[in-house]
Amino acid sequence: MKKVPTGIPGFDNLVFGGFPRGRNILLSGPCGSGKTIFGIQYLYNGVVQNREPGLYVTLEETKEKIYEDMFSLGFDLSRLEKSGMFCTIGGPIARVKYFMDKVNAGVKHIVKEIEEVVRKNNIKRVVVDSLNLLTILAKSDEERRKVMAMLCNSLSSFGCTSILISETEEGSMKLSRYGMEEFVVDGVVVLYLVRQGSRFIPGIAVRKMRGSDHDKEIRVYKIGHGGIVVYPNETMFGEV
Amino acid sequence: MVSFIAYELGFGIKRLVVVYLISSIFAVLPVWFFLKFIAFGASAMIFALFAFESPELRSFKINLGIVYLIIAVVMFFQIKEKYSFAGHLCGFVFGLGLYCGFKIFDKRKQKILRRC
Repeated sequence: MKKVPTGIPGFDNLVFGGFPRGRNILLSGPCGSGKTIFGIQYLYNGVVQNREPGLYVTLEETKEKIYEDMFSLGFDLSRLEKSGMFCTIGGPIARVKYFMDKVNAGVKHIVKEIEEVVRKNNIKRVVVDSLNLLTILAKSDEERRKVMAMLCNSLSSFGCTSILISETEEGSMKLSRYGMEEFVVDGVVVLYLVRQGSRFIPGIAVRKMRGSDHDKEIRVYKIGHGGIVVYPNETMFGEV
Repeated sequence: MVSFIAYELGFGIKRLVVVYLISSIFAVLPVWFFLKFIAFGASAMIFALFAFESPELRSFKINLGIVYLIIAVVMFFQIKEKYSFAGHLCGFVFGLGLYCGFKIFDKRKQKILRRC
């Protein structure tokens, strides 16, 4: 099976070379755990190291804000966008909802739009930030499930290796917000923030990866200038 | 069959009724204009509905070339009955035209994220 290296220092060791090509990976974690950074770093490395065009779909922040935040971490997304290998679509959810109501569009139109951008730009890596907000736009659980399946199918059919970001509740052991996302995707990567005294220790684990072996431990990672660095030999908890 | 395909494609009853009613008026106009004959047959509207649905049959991995070939053969055998042939042909062409119209309208709905 062909692998897509994430380029995130230390992380590829946990998935034995990278994500399986053409698969959808759920990246879940609580707020402040670095999900967006992980996603952007994956896309950035895809363009810089592998010449694979990337698409970032945001439903949380404005493009300008994201570019500014990522620039402070050493990722110049404007330069990448000018090269034509990277694009960002979307904006704050309220704005997206406003435009949706204006033209009487549904969430399936959003998925179709993502599909169109992927096709036109020959995108190979996609990050959807976040799946929670995308599915909030659905009117029922049934539609939510349908949209998730539709998104995953269409991204896979275009050969994209995608990361779907999901925010979990603080302290919860659930892998996703609605409890169904992990069954639709091919792989699950979880970011943890474990409280130790007065500080939080970030940990990362690969919980599921269809078609590939992976590390089973919770490993320590750090966020700093240059993004996320995973320490593949450091476990979060010692032997019990 | 037309309703079954529409159901499977998830077109919705509103859209089908709109296509049916609009095509019932406009598909017979060319027949009246060129052949000076007014006919209100449901079959022309069914052809219009089928034409409207046909491009989406690709999602079922059905070869559109074969679909259009079958329709062409069906129409060919009606060629002697010039009024029904003309009506069906107009219905079919009008249905395809409506499909393109709806597609353009739908395109607006697929430019939300890029507008934000």
